[in-house]
Amino acid sequence: MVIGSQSNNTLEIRDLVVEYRTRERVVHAVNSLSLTVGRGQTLGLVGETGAGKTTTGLAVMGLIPKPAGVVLGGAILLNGEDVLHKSDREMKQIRGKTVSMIFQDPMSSLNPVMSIERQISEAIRAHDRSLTRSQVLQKAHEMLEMVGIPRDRGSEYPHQFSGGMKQRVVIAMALSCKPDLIIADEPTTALDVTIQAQVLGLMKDLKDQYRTSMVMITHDLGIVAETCDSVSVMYAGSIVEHGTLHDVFDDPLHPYTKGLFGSLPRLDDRRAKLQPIKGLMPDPSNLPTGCTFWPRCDHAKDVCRVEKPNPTYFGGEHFVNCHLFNEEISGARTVNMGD
Amino acid sequence: MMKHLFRRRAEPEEGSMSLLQESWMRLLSNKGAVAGMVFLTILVLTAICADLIYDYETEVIMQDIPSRLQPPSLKGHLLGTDEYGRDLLARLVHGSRMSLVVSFSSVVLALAVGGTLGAMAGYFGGVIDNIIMRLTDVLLAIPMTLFAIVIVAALGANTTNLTLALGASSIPIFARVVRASVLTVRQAEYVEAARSIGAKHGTVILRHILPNCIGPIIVQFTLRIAQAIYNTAALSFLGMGVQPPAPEWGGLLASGRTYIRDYSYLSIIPGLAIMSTILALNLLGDGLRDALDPRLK
Amino acid sequence: MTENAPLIDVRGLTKYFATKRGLLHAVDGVSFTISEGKTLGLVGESGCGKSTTGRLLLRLIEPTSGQVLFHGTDIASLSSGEMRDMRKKMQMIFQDPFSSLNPRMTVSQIIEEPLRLHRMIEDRDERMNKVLEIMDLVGLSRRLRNTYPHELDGGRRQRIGVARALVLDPEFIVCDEPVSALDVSIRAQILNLMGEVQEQLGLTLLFITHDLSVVHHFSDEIAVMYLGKIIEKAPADELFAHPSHPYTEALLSAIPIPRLHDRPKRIILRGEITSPVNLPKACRFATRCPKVMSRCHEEEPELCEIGPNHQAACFLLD
Repeated sequence: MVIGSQSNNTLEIRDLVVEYRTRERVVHAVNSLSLTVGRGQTLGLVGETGAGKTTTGLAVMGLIPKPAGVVLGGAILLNGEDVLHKSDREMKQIRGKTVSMIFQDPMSSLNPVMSIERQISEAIRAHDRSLTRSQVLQKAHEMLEMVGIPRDRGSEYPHQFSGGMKQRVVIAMALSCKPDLIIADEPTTALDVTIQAQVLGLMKDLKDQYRTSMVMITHDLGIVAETCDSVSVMYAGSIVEHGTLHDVFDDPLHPYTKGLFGSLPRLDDRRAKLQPIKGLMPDPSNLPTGCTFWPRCDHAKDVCRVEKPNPTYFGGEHFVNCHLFNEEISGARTVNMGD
Repeated sequence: MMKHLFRRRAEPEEGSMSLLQESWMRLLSNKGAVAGMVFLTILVLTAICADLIYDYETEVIMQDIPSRLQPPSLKGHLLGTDEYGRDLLARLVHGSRMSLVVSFSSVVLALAVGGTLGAMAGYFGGVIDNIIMRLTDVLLAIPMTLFAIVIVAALGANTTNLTLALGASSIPIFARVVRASVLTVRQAEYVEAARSIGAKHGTVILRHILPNCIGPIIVQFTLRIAQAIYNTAALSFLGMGVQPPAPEWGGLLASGRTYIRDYSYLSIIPGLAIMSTILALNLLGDGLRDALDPRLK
Repeated sequence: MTENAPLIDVRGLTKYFATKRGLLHAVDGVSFTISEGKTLGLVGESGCGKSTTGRLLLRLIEPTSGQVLFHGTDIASLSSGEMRDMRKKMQMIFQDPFSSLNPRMTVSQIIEEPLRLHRMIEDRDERMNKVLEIMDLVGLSRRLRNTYPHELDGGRRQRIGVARALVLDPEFIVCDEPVSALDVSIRAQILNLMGEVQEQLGLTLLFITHDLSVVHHFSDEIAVMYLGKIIEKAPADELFAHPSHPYTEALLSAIPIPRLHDRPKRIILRGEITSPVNLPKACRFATRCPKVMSRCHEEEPELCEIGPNHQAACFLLD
């Protein structure tokens, strides 16, 4: 594979491995993860706490906390350019200009002692020194109005805004330099349902307007259904299933993906008993051998305990990393699953 | 043993040791804390056995002018003699008694009073908080040394009054530290949970709040003891503390000051004793704080 | 079957907090009943007063006015000693499994504490047996009894919380967002556990949550709160089939549904929850309501019957 060959993908991650090393243990946060996000597309990265979703996002931003975090291998291509070997100075230019991240807690990206218009202005000036002060302010106000905040509130400080409004400010900052890619890490988890609906609607509109690509990191399959074009399901640092929204929602194949759907209460039948996945997330410093999901899997076979599964494709981009499918690509794929 | 020290979150094993045993193991794995503990143990033992090592009347306070100001040597006096020809080591050993007793008891007193006040202020809040904190503010506003001088001058210079004076000056510090920790811990849901299962205020404070405030209290405790040793020295220097010829570390340091140009060992050696004790206390305090926190396994 | 006398009867429960900016109407005249063995779901967004209501029911905070009748006894009138006895019968499960357990106590000490406080079982071995029984009931392996909460994951911690609430054999439990801090697959485990335990022990529950799909799954009846008031109350299926108050409609439509087909149309509300300080006399939802009328700004609608067991507070439904 030639690095930097394709550029119709905004983001391409190949075999990324990230570890956190402390004195006593090594946490395998991301294990040989690969994914692609096409231009203007939204990819949902779904998984539970500790699956490595946020670490993946931070790796793309070049923000893996050092010195504990180490990128051991793989490649991250933004617009076809490998960013893993960029210097800190180059990464500073890439962040904001090419890729921005929206965090779960808006206060982690806002400075409490700076008015919001100034914060947005600084984000703009960091990448475009040619604008005059008043032009920058003008642009900051435009960004605020775009996310539905009246421009006269621009001189206020973060604490004067509610959670939903703060997240709008963060979105305005993230979009201020028209990045090609936005990584949204659980952007609405801290918000109320009705506010979440507002913010998600806003993000969708803006994304369409700017033709921005997006990685939506979330644990909520409902949000994925609402905002994404394709889905990657993550478990213990790697992707267990990937496909278009229809592939994964209409025909989930991996036992973990099925388990996630089975764990959700059904709105059409409230008495249906939930089908939780047994057991717990594995300790990322002590991952099971073979397929990382086997201790929790109802269909685990002997081979699952010793060998890592390879992806099996089901037409288009839909693939599953599971031994249940490795030998039976030829058709009878639901035999073992017993839905 | 190591298995317990590095227990993993995801795979808890059967805990077979009690909390105390586990804390003890954790304390032993901290080199600094062990060093501090060893030093303090030796110090305390020396203080207790001081009379067996050196006779107070003949070796500690009896003057021997002919052998005055002899420098430390392996043959004669190990740490030398002072301006009255008394053996410095003997005075140091006996002085440790006074220094330790006064500083420990004054800090324990301050912790008991200040801690109770602070816990009440933090837990109940409102008017109680206001009254207690304003009272301690008044104490805090008076300069410590001046305050101690007033007490000692009014009540007479003896060990009890010295302890009282030093203790009183530490009360507001403990009240503040304990109050601040209680305020944070009080917010925790487990405190509300304790109330919801029907625990009385006393139980909530003693069983759920204070054990979780222990960290800052221990650190403050060791720091204040160090401070108390130092303050005793200051008061002795001013003539308000331990009265000569009784030895006390601060007093030794102070009297050595006069000869610092030619006989610097007279002030350096008591100074080193004070410094090592304070260092040992801090090391042990840090170790204890970590050892008593089950989250830091 | 005849309707049981309600176990919990809440009448005009009100709690105001004095703040620097004025009187905060946390809970404002809330009334409801819960029959024995049933679950009432209390839903609403942050700041609507649902958690305060739960704490008022257990008298963890004192109400400004109103009554909470438990088996017909007003718990606000009890002395502190009588209240302590009453606490044996009413318990709480907390939201955050990471902060609701004392980090310095072991699993068995935490579960045992209620028994000790109420001197229920004086004998040490017997008491430990009871603790182990409860641990079995909630699916906690017995070997975990001497571990500390921080060594366990969120799901197991929440099982400890459930065990602590169950150990006194209570009749009524307030569950304050018991699963919202948990991961999806663990959440399902805990919800199933709570359902089983409720059935087995015949518990009455108040289930407080912001998660509508969870409350729908778990409750017999649902009350929707907005700014300190109940604005709609109905049996779970009825509420989801025929939401009547415009807020309930919007709330239900805002749930992100994890499927691609027949998705309901979204109603996106304008603005945010207004501050519950110094409320004007008007419908509290008027500022965000898509169907607002001039009357809504002048009067406050009362909760009234709009169908069998179905109540709502909106002028549109008069």
